Amino acid sequence: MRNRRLAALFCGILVLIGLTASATPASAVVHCWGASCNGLRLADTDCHVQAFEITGATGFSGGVAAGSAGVWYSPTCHAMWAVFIITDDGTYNAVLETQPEYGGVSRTPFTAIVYRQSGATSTLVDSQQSVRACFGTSGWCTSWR
Amino acid sequence: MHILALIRRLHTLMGETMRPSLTRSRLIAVVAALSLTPSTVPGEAQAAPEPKPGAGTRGAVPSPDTALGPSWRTSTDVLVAGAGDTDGYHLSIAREKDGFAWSTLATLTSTALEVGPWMGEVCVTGSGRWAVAVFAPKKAANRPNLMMAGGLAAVVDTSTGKAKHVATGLQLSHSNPACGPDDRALLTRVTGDEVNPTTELLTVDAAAGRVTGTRRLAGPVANPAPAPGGDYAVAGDHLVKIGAAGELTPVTKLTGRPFALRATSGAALDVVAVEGDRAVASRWAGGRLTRTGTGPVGNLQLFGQRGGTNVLVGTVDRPASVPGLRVLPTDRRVEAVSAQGHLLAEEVYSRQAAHSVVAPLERASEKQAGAFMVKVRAAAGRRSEALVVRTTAPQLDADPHAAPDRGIPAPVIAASVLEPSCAVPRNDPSVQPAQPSANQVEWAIDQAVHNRLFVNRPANFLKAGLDAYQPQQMFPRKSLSTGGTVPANLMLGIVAQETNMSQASWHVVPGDTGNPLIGSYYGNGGNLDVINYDDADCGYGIGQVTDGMRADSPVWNVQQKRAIAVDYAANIAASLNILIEKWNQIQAEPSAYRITLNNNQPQYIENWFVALWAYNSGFYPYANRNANPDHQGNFGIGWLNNPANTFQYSADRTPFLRYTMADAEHPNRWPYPERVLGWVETPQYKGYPVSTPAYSEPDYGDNTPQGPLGGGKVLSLPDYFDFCDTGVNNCLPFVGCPTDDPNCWWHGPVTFADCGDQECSTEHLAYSLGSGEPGVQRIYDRDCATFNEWADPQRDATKTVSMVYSLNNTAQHNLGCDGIQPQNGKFTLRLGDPSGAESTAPYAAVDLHQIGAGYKGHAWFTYLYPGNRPKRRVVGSWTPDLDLAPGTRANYAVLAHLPSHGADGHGTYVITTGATGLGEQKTCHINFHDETQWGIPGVLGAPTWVYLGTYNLGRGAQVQINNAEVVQESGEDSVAFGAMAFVPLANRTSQACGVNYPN
Repeated sequence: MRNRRLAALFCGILVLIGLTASATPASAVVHCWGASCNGLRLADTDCHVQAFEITGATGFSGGVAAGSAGVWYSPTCHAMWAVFIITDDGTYNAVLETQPEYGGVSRTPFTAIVYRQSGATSTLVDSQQSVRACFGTSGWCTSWR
Repeated sequence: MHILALIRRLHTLMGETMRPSLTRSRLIAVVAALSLTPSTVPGEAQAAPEPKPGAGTRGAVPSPDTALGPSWRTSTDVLVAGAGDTDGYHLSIAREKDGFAWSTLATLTSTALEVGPWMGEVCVTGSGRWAVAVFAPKKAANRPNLMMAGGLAAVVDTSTGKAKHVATGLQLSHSNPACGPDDRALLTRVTGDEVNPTTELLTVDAAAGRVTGTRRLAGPVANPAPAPGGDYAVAGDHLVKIGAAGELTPVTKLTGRPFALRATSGAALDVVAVEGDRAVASRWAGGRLTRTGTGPVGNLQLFGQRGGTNVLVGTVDRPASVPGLRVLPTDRRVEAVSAQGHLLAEEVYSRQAAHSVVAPLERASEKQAGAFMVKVRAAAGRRSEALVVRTTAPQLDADPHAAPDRGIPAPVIAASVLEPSCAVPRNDPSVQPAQPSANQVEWAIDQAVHNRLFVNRPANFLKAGLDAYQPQQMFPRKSLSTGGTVPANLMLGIVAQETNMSQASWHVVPGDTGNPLIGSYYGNGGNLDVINYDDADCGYGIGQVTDGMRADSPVWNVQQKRAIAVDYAANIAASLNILIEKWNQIQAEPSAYRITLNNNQPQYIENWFVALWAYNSGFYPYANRNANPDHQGNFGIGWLNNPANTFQYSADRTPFLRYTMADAEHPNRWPYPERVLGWVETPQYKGYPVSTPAYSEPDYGDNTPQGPLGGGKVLSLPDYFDFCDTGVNNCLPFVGCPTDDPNCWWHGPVTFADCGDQECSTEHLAYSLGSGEPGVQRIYDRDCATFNEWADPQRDATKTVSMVYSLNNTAQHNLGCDGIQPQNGKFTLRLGDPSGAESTAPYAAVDLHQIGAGYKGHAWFTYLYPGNRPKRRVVGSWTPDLDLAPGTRANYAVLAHLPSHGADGHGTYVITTGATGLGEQKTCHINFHDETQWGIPGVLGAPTWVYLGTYNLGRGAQVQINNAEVVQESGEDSVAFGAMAFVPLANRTSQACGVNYPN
């Protein structure tokens, strides 16, 4: 049952990423590049084109998978973002973290509260830096990319 | 100094006998070759072979039966000596029963103070069992506060080499540490500053390995001496006994300028002092002071011996026979004597120090770290032997901020770690100065002092975002209030002393670009675990320009600040003005109190002695005499650098570098102006493989003194007590100042040379005024060769190669290479563990560097650290934009570029093959040292592309490496982050890790 729910949510998120974007009128779609993408919503750009998930992680709660986070990269925009999916009944802080390209203190350009069995997509960030996605302070994150 | 004399001196240093048939130019080349490739030194090879790694010993005295006498096999005599390099301060021991073969004892250092070479002073206790050392980075000698309290101390067991850190914050003087006839030693510390100094005396129980007591003294002392019945020292013109509470009780009046004091186990005290041109030894015993011998200044020295006796070493006339004192005749000054006096060490210096004298503009070579050179002579013999000793000793890693003598742990410094105080940042690709070679520095100084430094710097010079400018249009030369100009050679001596003529960091060799040289950017005293921006010095570049270089300073605009950081010529223009301001400040004093030297005309180098003094330790104007009550109405020039300061400097010192280059091993033994004038008189050397004087000697007046060793002229220097007058600064000539506070500050005229009668020296210009900027003399060729993507026969022509540079904005490569393409992917660094944390990431940046050694002129590098060091961790990641359609994979050869220098350690690359999630992870371990040929004698290192293997990669593939050292490999310790190439392959599916790419 849980797996089916997860699959359904994942499909929903993909629809959110792809179909929602493609359904937006062409005149509203913005093409951005690198730092100019910072803070934009994926749905408002054409960055989904050619985009792929570059790293992901599954989070566990009490030894049971609770959700997943994935970091996506757009070669079209040189931008990245995170997709968060919660599959259990918990509530989590979803965080997109970045570090300056040649090192420095982390920043959190995107944070959101994600409720049970739902998902969220972060705003975009310049890919020319280190990026990862985390679920709050629970300690599970994707690798840095 | 005449070049021929210098060459003789260098030969002396290297233990060579000069062959008169050689021409001068050939001699220079020979000297360079001898120094740069020590394994080819004939004398060394014949005396004994270089020890194999790990051997740690070397026979010192050939034919010991003859040289040492028949009983040497049963002798317990030992000699302990020390020398410093970038690894630390090395202590070694030679035991007579081994024919005075050398064994290494310990290397004393602090990895928290990665600040270049180390120096130290060492003594051995009366039992011969314990060596006590005070050690510090050599750079501390340029900082008055560190001269007073910048040293660390350790006790070393001479039997086992076990070392223990016992104290911190110690004075760097010629008489610290001081060992007694038993196992006690004394250490000194001067807290406060020139205005409010306080001297503390620490008692060390060497056998227990700890400080047993600290006394705040009633006044400053020189030459402390532990004795059976208490502790003694010299204070003013008296021998004093130091009481339990630090009170000083006069014992007897001394004559002359004492420079050595030691007690015997019989409670007698031997003292040696300079009286006129003679050194006079006396014995205090039974309430009487008795003369025990005299000798020439510089060749009558006092050392302790095992069992609590003393020995006078040198040319001793009319020696008296007293208990516990014997005479060891020799015609040369020595650095150390064995415990029973059977062996003399005439010179002790590290191989790096010898190399830096010959080629100071080169980066300190890791290859040469750990080796030091000694010139020894059996007391009964006539022949000196030059030897190389390689250290294999365990390392003592002292914490400079812990205070074990007071039981106080390292302080926690709370300060912002996110907002640097200095105006121009480190590790910024848009701030990469070019390291000049010496010819460029001399050219710029020649032009600048004559207001001719107007070379055109185009817009975006060195890609630093600057508008077009000319150095002395941006920093107009100030005028000397007396008229005239600054002698060019004086500025050359200053930049030699301050920075070894470096604009970029000391990691950067001439011809490369890299991080700027910034004095104490982090305000941490070199401690890599501390960032305290409030204490940042912000001294930038070749002249260490500090004024106006803080971020909030309005003195310079942004353009000027960046120019000072990146352009050696602009920096020289700015720093010249600082020196001019010091001169003018001194000249602006009321005439009754003005310091004038000789005829006070600025064209004479000797007349700048006090301006140099002020350049280092400041000037206290007459007008401010009452502004600070602590000044007690005093004004003028401070006490620390006064040549009469016998608390700090030995009265029998010879002029810096005049007799031996080994002086460079102990810069703490000379006041700052004497050191600068030493470098004026004796130029540094530069170049590889042939080294030549880095800059010109001055034009000596016809009546300047004649140098030693049959050499040419030398500078006229002030006598040590020329700035000493009871009516001015309470300083008694031939005695000194009884205090070390503002009452000792000097003002007023001094004459030590008749400049009008050719007793002074003037500048010598090597470059005609208005001449063009000379080209840089590189150590390494630029690595501008373009990667040959077709060199692999299996290259898949249907896909593109992904080249990931070390800079994402590839337009920031500023070494001048062409053929640089836009970034095809990204390169990132992550700092700290956990990375990005405020508690780790800012600190990991401290030991991160950029140099123009990599592909197309850029690479990052850092040092390997064993285990998990959260504040040191650096991870480099290369993520290519592979030419792959979604969901497809292909075979790629992954190639790492290894720079010719900046990477001599080893590391494991982790290759993530890419796909959703991480994909597979593979590893490839590379020894940079071998790949870049650092292990080949005479090879400085060559750049290379090396296969990390062939992998089936998908989109999102990545290569990473970090600086965590899993397996420690001695002496090879850096890892570079350069370019990475991903070459698509048509057929081949495997390729061994570590194979060179046929670029």
